[in-house]
Parts: sequence; structure tokens; C-alpha cells
Amino acid sequence: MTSPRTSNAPDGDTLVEIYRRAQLIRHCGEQFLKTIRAGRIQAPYYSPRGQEVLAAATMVTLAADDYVVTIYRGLHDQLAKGVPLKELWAEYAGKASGSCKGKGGPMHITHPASGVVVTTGVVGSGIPIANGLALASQVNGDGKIALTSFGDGATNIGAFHEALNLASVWKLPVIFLCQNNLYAEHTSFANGTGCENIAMRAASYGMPGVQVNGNDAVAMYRAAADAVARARAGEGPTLIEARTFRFEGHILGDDSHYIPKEEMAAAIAADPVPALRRQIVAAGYATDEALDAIEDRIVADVAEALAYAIAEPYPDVAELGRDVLDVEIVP
Amino acid sequence: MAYDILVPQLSFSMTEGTIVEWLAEDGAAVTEGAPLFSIEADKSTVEVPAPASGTLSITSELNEAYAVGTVIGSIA
Repeated sequence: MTSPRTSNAPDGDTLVEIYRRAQLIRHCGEQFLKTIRAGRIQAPYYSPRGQEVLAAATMVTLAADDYVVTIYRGLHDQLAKGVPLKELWAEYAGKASGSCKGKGGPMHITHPASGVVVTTGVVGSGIPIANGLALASQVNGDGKIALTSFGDGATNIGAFHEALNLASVWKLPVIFLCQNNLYAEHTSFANGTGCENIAMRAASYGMPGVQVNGNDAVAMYRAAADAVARARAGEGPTLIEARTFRFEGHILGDDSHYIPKEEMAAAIAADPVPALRRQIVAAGYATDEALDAIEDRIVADVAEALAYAIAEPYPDVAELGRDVLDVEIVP
Repeated sequence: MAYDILVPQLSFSMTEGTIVEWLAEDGAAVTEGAPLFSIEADKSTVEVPAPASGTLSITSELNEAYAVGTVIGSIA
């Protein structure tokens, strides 16, 4: 079951905004790598390098108060949805002014004000949570939709299948976004998944399954906008399989030795961020100078967030017993 | 002001690391981003780039395990 493409291509301003968000992800990621390698922040780091355009083109189709549930490899989703830099950096550094008071860390970035309701640390576990949020929207009739982001490996987890089935039965306003970067941690797609592609799995649950080049800003935007329109119209869920690639391993310290060198080189040569820049300039949507100015601003913002995160205090020891079941609430 | 070189955390469970090789000599000029030392942790060896540019001062021993966050040298 597939649905026809109906959404228009993004206009020039929207493409420039997608580029801005993609560059924010790129520069923020670069600074995280530098800072962690310099020992200034001690944290596990999952680089989204290569997947920036996918997240940026998807998140611009959502309203500010729509929900996003992502996973620990979700820095690009969080930034594209609008989690503020300073709170994000402070959380990575474990500081009291972080988005989770420094107690969640990089794997659990949560910022409800920007719609990022939860980042889960277990593969596939965010999918049923998105259903719950979508059900709440449906019951409340508030028009919000939920998008959940996960990798190709997550579609082999039971929760994926159970959640898609229920979302279809209940016609929930939810979008299942599989960011298929072709490697589930260190396992190639062909070695871990029994079907040809992820999109076809939607047929089992009676919902549209769409395969798209996630690194193509226009195609990604249209696929996401179609799914958003369906969800808002009460027509139910969509499964999107966005093909992409990651340049810097699953986690910092992973040297991608299991990825053929030619495959990696080809992916880096097709880097979606400079490709989008060339597309924007060629179409006359913005000049190189204007895009440089956008980038300069981002570099300054990231530097400011880094300095803030380093300078801020750690949480007080008393915080250890707060926000957790430290004492029995019901005697 | 000298920039301290710290033992970084380079994998999920890494708590200490062993410097197995400095890729620049004590007193040499180093450039930010160029490989500075090789560190072994969790059975793998990783090259770490210089966090700043300047003159390298090594204040730690080779082949000795140091906890993450330990100052192993500086760049001035």
C-alpha cells in the first residue's frame, strides 16, 4: 500500500532553513568530537555526520509543538527539532542547567518545550512511546502529531511490529521514520534484515510504506510532508524508510572497519550538506555570502554553548535523590 | 595560558587509558587537529589529535595507565 506524492517541493526559504539546521547539526557535532577527544567532556558520542539533511528536511515539516521521540543516536533529530544549544551542551557535560538537570546525559536528551519528549537508550523502545503520545493527541483532539525516529536495526525488534499494527488499527496520528544508514551498529543491513527494504514492512500493517533518499532535501521534505498531512487529516500512520549513511562510526571509538572502504568513500563524496548548498546557490535561493553568514552565526552559537557548558556547575549531591523513587511515596 | 592535555574517554566503558606513543616530541611545536598521541584502552589503540596549537610539554609516563581526565601534558 503506497500513497501518491501530493506535497509540493519546499520553497527557497524552506530549503535555506533546512540547510541552516543541517549546518547546525554538522558544526555542533564537530565541536562535540573535538571537545570529547580533548577530554573536556566525558560522554559517549554517537556522530550523526552524514544524516544531517535527513533530520533537517523532516523536522521542518513539523509544528513546534508536535512530538518527537528519538533514540540515543539522535543528536541530529534533537537539534533539527529545536532543542536549545546551551541546554543540550550542558546536559552532555552533566551540568545542573542541562535539559535534564545533568542527570540524563547525552543518551536521554529530553526537552518537551521543543517537542522532544524523550530520547530512549534502548533500540526500538521509543516506537510504542510515540503511539502513546499520538493516542493522547487523538483523545484530546489537539491536532498534534508524533514522529518517532529509529534505525534499520530497530525494525527487527518486536516493539516495532506491535506498535505499527496498533497504530494502524487505531489510525493514530504518528509517523514512523526509519533512518536506514545500512548498518545496525556493526551489522550490515543484508546480514541482519530478512526483507529487501524496510518500507515493504508497512504492507503487513495496512499502512503506506514510503522509501526515500533521505539525503535529498526535496525528496525527504515531500515524503515527510505527505506523512504529516495524512496524520493531521486523521488518516493514520505512515512508515518512511529514509536511506542515508553515517560517516563516523556507530559511536566515538568505532573506526568503521566493517564498512568497505569504497562504500564509505562514495558516501562521503556524496556528502548531503555541501550538495544542498550547491543546489541552493544554483537555484538562486541564496548567495554563497548569505550562506557563509548563516554558518558564521552557527559557529559562534556553538562556541558560546560549549563555553557555557564547561563553566556551569555540576548538580548538587542532593539532586541524586530528586526526580527518582528515592523514598517510598505511598507508605 | 597552557592548555592541559587530558586522558579522554573514547569508548563507552573506558575508565583509564595507556599512552603507548607520543606522535610529537617533548618541546616540539604541535598543531591543533594533528595526531598527538596513541592511547590504548579497552583492547584498542586510538590516535588522539592535539586539542590546541603550541609547544608540547609531556608530563606523564609511557605505558602507564591513567584515569580518564588525568593531565598527561600541556600545550603552551
